[in-house]
Amino acid sequence: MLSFLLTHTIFSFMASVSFAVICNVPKRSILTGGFVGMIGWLGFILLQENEIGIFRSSLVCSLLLAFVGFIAARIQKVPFTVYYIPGIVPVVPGITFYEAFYQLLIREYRESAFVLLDVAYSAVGLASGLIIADVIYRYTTKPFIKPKKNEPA
Amino acid sequence: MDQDRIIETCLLAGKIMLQSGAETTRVEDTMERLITKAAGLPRSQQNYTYVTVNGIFAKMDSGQTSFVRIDHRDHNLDKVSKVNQISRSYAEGKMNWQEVTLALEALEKEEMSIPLYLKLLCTSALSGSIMLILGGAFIDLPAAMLAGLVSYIVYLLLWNFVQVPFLSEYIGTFAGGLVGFALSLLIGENLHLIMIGAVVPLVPGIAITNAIRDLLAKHYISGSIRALEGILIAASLGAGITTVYYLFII
Repeated sequence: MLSFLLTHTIFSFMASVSFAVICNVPKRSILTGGFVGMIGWLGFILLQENEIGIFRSSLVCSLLLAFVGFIAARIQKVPFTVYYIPGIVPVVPGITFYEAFYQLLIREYRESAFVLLDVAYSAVGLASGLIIADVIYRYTTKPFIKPKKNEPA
Repeated sequence: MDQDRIIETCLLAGKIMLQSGAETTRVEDTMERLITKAAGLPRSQQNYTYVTVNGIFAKMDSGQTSFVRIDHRDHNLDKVSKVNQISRSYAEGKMNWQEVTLALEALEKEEMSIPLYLKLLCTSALSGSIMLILGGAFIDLPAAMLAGLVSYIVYLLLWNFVQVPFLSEYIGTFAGGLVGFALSLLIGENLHLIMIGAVVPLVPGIAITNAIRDLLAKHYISGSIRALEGILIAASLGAGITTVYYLFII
């Protein structure tokens, strides 16, 4: 269990950080983005391991990720996308989407239909989690966080 | 102030943001805030912007209208955050309109600042770590990293020299899949996960997520365009890997 957690913590952090570098994120946000992505992935994988379906796992993961991302974005005064795009990369439904097309092309039509539905559930879950996090953040947390002063431009 | 100049600069700001991977709502928001502050007019029937992923339109109350066209998009979040910074400084009164225009023009010409070797290093790190957290073993690590690296390099080369959309993705993943397959014969166990490592640098995950976000924000045109783009890219990736399977395995 410990090695499981350790592997997932380290490598989801690495995945988010490396994608942040590829996306050319501002330098001071790279490590924070890694932590945001790590939190999201840990939420996702722990729910998945306990056999909770893909929709709810994606929803919770996106909720966690977006909430932490909104707070970090407000403190560091950068757009929220800077955290969301690198953070979501381990969970992103694109990998599943590729699998669906692969199954379709090797003529496993039933499998492919299941995987396509997974893509849809996951994407809708991620988007709804983001919206819920936005609402919660706006009405509960935002008034209490002050942005950092004297940020270099 | 001259409304022509306001519209020009706002369109430039929107263009930079959209080309760098910002979402539609944010672009609209920033542009309208710039216009409102510069012209002293709130958003109204005579004064608004309309943003889709391929074009940005802006109109002001004198009847002044203009638009720009967006062809290619990638992810350069540094630029998004810089435009944000500029519009914020302008709203706080730290910059005048002249400075905003100059800053945006300089920003448009700016190239991506990360060196190529760092980008390639990060690509292989991305492939390796995604492969591991999806359940791979450490013995598959070299194969997945190299496969991801090769598919990304081939994709970049083709994209820079031929500029055929979707064919670059197809040939890129085909090359990556070949390398992954060859290495899996030498060292490696789970071919399926190695192939995931090969496609990861090119997956359209952000396109799909942004598509759903746009749809939920009622930007139907942008949402459908992005979803279609994601579907086509995923299909080319699947086709590239499947070609390897058909040639050597099935």
